[in-house]
Amino acid sequence: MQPIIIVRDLWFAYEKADYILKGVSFSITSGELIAIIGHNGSGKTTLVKHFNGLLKPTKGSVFINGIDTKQATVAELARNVGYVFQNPNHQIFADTVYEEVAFGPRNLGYDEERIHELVESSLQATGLDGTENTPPFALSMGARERLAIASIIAMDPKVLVFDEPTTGQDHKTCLEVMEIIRKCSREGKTIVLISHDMELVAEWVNRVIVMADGVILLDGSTREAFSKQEVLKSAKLKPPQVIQAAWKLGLQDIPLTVDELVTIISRDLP
Amino acid sequence: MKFAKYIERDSIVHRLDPRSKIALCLAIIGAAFSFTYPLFMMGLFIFVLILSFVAKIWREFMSQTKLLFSVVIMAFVLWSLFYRWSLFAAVTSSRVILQLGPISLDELGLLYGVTMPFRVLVLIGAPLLIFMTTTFSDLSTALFQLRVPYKVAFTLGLSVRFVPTISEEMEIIRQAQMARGLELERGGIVKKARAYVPIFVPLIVRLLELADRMSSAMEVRAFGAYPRRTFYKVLSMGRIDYVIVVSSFIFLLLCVWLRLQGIGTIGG
Repeated sequence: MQPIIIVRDLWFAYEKADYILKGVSFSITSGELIAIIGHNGSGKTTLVKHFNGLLKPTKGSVFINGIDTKQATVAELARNVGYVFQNPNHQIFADTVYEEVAFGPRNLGYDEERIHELVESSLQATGLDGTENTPPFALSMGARERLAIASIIAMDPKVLVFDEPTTGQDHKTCLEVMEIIRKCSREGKTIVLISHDMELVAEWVNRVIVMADGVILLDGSTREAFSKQEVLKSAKLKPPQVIQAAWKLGLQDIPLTVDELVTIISRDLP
Repeated sequence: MKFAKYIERDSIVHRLDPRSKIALCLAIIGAAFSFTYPLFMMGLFIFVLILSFVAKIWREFMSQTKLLFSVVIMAFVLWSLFYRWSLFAAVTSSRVILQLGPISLDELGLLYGVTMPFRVLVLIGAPLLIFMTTTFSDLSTALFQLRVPYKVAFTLGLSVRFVPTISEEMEIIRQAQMARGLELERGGIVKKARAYVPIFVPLIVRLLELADRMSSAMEVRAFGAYPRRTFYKVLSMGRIDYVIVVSSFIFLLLCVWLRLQGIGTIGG
């Protein structure tokens, strides 16, 4: 299958020779659900900001759906890549929920009928249907988070990037957000998730890229990534407790959820 | 780009008492208002550049000055073509260089057109230099020691401290809205101005949010609990500080005197 995102030897620096990304290469196939993890300042946000052209490579190149990001504007790339920023308050401005969600598709020049369809379906997908005429600032923080996601889904991009979508949210919102992400993934969207939350990554994601200090330390399946103790340690990441427990018990198989751990223990241990 | 952010360096300008920096800055601003002749204004700007060099923040200072590029161009165009309608311009007859319908460019206009952009650069550059070389707490302390009431001094210092925060917040919001397909570059002036609505609304909301959080943070740390406030770090003027304050004052008097003699002005 044709990769939808190709990153080829990407180097990036804001100031001369002070590189934040140092030769990053990988590709993402259409429909993948992938997480990029790493400590603060490891370069993960800088990396994904290249996907919609907010940042342009200093060296190397990034291709999105065959388009070289150096040759395209952010608005053009927004058709292909939707980026949900961390704090919904950085984007909410409209008088009503409907107008807020319609902003993106309107910018892309869709006709009103299509916009209406997209807005309604994305409000439904995020459980915000029925709030069309509510002022966004009257929504709770959890609902605002879902609104921010709805306003990106409404642009119908092929790739969705989520920057720490669950940070600072309560458990309920966290689950709601992850359900929305899973739903988008099932519909065939390519999902790139940036996260600190190892539990969440272990439970929901198929492929993991581990970053530290601007380079990729590891790129593989979630189970593979969490079986490499040394790599995670050097990336200063603490894996979920189930995996720590599996390490301490010296288990051969790596569990990703509590249920898996229980299955392995009751099978392997006397 | 973090506009007007304090940059930690080991330089003589950083070590100066904030009060002497304020005195120098006021003298430069006074001088900028005294003169209208291009060479004098350029001289002042070069002086500001030299100060930034001495402060070892030359590179950062230049990159922030570049942000004023469009303002500088606008000042040049507006002043050289329309100086006649300014309340502050001396209007005498001068040779017309270029005639474009009702708009004409004459020699006097050209002189103003060269001076005013430099005045803008000096008026913004001199205070910018203080902000980039002085921490916000030192600035508040200095104002307090100048007998400004503490709450006022703190608020003034805080507003300076907030400038880089505002520019950071604005950059995040700009990126978030561009990711939603917002075009900021295309279209006429009205369309461009309208395009900024989705940026300014979240910005104002964010700033109110930050201000609210900041005031809570100050209250839990008992801001204003005692009527009299003491300081851990008491600023004291050194010999060089006195030299700078006195010479700033003399410099300002000299500029005003020159101005009254009609030197350094256009068409005087």
